[in-house]
Amino acid sequence: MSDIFSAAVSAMNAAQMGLATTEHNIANANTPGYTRQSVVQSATPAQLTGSGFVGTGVNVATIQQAYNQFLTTQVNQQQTISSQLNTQYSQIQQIDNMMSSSTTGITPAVQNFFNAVNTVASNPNSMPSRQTMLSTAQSLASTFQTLSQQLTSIGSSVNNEIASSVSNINSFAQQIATLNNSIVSAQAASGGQPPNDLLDQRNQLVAQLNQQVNVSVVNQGNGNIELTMGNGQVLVMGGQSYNLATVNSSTDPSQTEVAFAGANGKITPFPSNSIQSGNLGGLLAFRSQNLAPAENQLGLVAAGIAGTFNQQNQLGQNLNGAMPSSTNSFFSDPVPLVVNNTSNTGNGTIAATITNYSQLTGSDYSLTYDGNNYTLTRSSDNKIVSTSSTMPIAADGVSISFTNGTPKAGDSYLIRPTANAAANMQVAISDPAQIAAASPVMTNAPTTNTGNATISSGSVDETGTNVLTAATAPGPITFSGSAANSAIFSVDGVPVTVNQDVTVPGNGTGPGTLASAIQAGLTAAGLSSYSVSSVASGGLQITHAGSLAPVAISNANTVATSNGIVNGTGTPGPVFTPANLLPPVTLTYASGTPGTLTGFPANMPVTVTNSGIPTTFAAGTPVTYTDGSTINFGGISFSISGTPANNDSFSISQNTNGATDNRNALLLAGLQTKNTMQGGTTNFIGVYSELVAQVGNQTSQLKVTSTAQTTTLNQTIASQQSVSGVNLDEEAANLLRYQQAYQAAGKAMQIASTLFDTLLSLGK
Amino acid sequence: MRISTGTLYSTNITQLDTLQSNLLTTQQQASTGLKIQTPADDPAAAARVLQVTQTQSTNTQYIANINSANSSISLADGTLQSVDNLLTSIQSTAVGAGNSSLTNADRQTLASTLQSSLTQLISYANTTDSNGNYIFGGFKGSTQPFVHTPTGIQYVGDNGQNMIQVSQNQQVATSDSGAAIFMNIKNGNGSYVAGTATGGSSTLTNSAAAIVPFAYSSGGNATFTVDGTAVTVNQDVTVGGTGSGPGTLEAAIQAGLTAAGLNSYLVSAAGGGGLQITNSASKTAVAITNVTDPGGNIVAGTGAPGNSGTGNISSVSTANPAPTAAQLGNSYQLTFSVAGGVTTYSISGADSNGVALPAGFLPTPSTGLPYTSGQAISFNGVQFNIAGAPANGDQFTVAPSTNESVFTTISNLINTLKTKIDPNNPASQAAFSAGLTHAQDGLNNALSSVLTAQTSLGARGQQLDVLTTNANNLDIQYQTTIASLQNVDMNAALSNLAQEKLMLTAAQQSFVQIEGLSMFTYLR
Repeated sequence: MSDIFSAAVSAMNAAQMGLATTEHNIANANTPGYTRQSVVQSATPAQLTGSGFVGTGVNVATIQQAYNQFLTTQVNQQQTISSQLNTQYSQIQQIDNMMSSSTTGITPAVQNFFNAVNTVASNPNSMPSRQTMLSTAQSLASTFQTLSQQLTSIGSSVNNEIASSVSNINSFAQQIATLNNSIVSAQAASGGQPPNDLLDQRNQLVAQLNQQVNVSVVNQGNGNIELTMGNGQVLVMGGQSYNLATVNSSTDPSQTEVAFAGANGKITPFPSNSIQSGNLGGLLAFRSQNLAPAENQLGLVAAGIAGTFNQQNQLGQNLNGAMPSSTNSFFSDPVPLVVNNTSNTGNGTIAATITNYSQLTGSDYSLTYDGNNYTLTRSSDNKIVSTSSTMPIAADGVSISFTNGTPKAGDSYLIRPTANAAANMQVAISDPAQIAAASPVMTNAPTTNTGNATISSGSVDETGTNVLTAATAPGPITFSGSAANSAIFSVDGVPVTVNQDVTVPGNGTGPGTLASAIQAGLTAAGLSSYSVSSVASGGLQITHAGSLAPVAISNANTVATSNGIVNGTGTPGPVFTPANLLPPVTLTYASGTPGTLTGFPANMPVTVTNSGIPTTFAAGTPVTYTDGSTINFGGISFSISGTPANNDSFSISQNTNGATDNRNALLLAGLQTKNTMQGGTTNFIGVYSELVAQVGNQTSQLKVTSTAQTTTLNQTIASQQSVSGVNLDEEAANLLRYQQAYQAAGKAMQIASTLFDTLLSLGK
Repeated sequence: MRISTGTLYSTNITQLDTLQSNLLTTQQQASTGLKIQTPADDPAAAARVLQVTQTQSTNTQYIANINSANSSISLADGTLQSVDNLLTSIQSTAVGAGNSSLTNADRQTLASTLQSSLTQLISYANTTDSNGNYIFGGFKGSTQPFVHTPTGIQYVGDNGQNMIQVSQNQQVATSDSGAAIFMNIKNGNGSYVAGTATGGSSTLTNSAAAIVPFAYSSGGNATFTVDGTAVTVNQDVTVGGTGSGPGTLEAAIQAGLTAAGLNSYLVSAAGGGGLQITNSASKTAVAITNVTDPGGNIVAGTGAPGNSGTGNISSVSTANPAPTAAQLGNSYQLTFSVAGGVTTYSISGADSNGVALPAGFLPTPSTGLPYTSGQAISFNGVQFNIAGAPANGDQFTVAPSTNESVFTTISNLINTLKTKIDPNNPASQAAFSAGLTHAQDGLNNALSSVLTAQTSLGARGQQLDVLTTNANNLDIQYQTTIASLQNVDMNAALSNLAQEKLMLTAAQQSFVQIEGLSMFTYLR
């Protein structure tokens, strides 16, 4: 009898516990991180009777969680990647949206500016036209500034988000450490029964932590878990949590970096790229992969426009009749941003200048010193672009030199040639008369000439830099080596191989001369703007069009040397100064075979280019006249065509009162579509559209990957939830089940009571 | 698979979010007409749109440039048309002036008519555009290009020619230098010009040497006597930048002559270099004496007298064969001699450096050639004739053409008309005829120079018309390209919109259905 009672009571207890657990499940159906619980029942030990074992009831062994370690780890891993991609995607969308406007972006501002330049070209001395050009230049500059400010503010909000992510991580780590303690003590107090809801809380915190940064969980068996970050940094060990901190980057103090805060207060920055996932990883990836390149590329457009425009403006003449000086630029000249590493031990400070806008890449550079050599590395592809034991060091259109102090081994510097260019773009002149629309050179064929030759207007150009290869020519040169034995030498650091098969008449199988052989070698080496020409005094020279820097020949092998090619650095190209034309140069033609021109300045060599082939005449010698050829001296070029008569003269003088001269304005206007950027392959808008394409591609790629990752995450969560999640229908069924169990046990109790009553009534 | 109730909801929420977001994108595309909302939607097309947009707006700018060029060109063309008309009327006046029935007074009247035409011509040459810039001044557009000087109208503009960008690779000239149109007009036939030792008598001031600039200080003036009248040349008026005054030695001497009251004496360039003084009112040789010239420019001497016969040289034409390149710079002189009623002439010459031609470079024989009035004389590629009766010692020249401005031509014509013809002096009639012939040649040359300029303007105008058509076509092409890159296909967008709306509705309704399925509904 009592057996029945006790069995019924145990059954009622078990059913009650089942109802309570089901109720708990229903109550927490929407609690994040909650894991479905269920009662684990077992039969109580049976009583041995003569007729065998008689059951004694039921016992609730434990309340079990439907927890699957594998699935939960999966969810955490997918979650951390998903957070990273979503964060990076939502950040880059800001840049993507910035680039979307076709009415307020860079393109219309560039177009308005160049339209105004065109108007000045049509009306060179109209003050309203010039004023409009200045105003549109200002609005172009402010468009760049605005875009740059937007990028900067995105950068500083990234810094803030990194800081808040780090404080979240610290707070989660602390809470987890606290929970570790609670769980250990709860487990001890309950004699090994799992504190399910505490475990859920801790798992939920781990999941949240994984949203910020990837952590791996090691179960220590006693209820404690140990958390480590991807780079091995321990965050939580038992009841102890370790803090992260934020510091300003040593290479670029404008950027916030994540660091480990040691117990002794020592802050150690994590190496870059050591945090690659989670929200934090997304922010860091966005900053280095998307934001910085966008800033640099935008700066490249700004630097290109400002620098190239300034250079052309300085070759012209303003309305006051003067050439703008190098300190009187149209736009303020772009200056690269240079950052000394704060951990440098030496006291050397450097400065960088842009020497060639067409070579700029938009990448950052790092300069390191190992005690002997300086190494310049391009960040975009981690390629060493220049090594030297002395400064200045130059590459990609940027030249870097020391301004002060000396470096020590291990010192490094960050050079960002274009990072600041958009933010610092400004119109540097305010007087419309300062716009150099005219050319400083004027030519004239006087009325007294009797021939029909005409002289072109003349222009000042920045090209025409030359250097002697064979300084003094050793007479006619013939290759004597076999075809296998090529002449090799470096031109401005680029190795050039001259094929022995292409030789001077009579030697070898190919046609042509040493000059054409070297030219072919230069072309094959990609040095297409270098040309070989003969010097009137004999010998050959190499000229680099488009640069005033001297051409350097080095590393000539013995075959090259035996052919008269000598190592050396030439002279810089002639730079035009108005003084070159004081007094005016008057050329006089003397008929004869061939006809000659005399009267060039006694100290200037003259280069005559006919059908693309330049010939240089030594200073002071008569120059052979060729109909239609381009004549260049002292940085001035012009052409004379037609048939001059004996004693006809041509004058080249300073341009005075040239109020309606628009020659330089035309060249300025032409810069809009001229391929001046990236080695002469594209124009300003081309570079900007590369930026747009780059941002667009990155955004679209992130959109695809983050969507895919979200889908994967959702599927993993669904799998995990299919095990751990609460299904209300199931719980409703359980309710019914436990209710019926309870009712049945009650009925058993009632029957037992009836049995008992029967017994009692027997005694009456 | 077991589904947790939370998953049921969250999956539905995700699905509804996705559908709504798609619907919004499609709706935006339909309402803006653009399929690229941000570069991420189609990075390559977004970049391409920027470049094509720039190309399109550059093209639009070229159309504006073409319009600007057209207005410059039509102003120049209109002005040159007026010049054309004016020169034609001057030409007919010159032809009419040859009528032998006219009296000296009639010619005087014609001269004053021409004087006002000359003034008109100068004002045409100094035409300004709407900005007040001189259209024939080259790059010196704010400086009046044609100015009066003691030696006539001078051009102080430059040779500059403004260009304007009218397409990616083409520039078109929008201005023409006045020097080319009005000043650099070759006289004679373009290669050679005939000359007569007519107007008064002439003498060399500065022998064959080149004109030397004044190099001395303003302290020492040059003084000399011309036909007994003292002349002072102010040293301050100099050549090429030294000294403070404008002008040339020629202008300085002319100013000195005028100051001394010698109004009929004119300074001009002599054939072999140097300067000469001519007395337009007399045929006797001009004598220069008492020279004090610190610069050593002016030499004393007595010149040759002018022709006294009635001989008249025609215009020079090119013979067959034409002059060789070596012969082109030569100048020739024909000197007549009358002995015993027989007129003969001899030919001498000099090359471009002033060196006398040796015998082999002249016709053989070159002396004692018999003269027949009106018979063609042809040698070394030149051909001309001399009519009338030259007197003993009369000289005629055939020299390489030089530039003679249209203003000089007209001024000379006016002087020719003003000079009285003495019926008793056959030489004065000959001089008149020679002047008239020269002026008519000069006017022809000037007209052809203006017509050449007009032809060039017309050609540029036509080029601009073609370019405008091209640019307009290109504009449509660029618009099409941009549209195809960034515009949405409206049919597709609307169809997508309907489909996505349907999907969203279905998802919403089905969710409500599923959501209603709960066992708790049945627990009573």
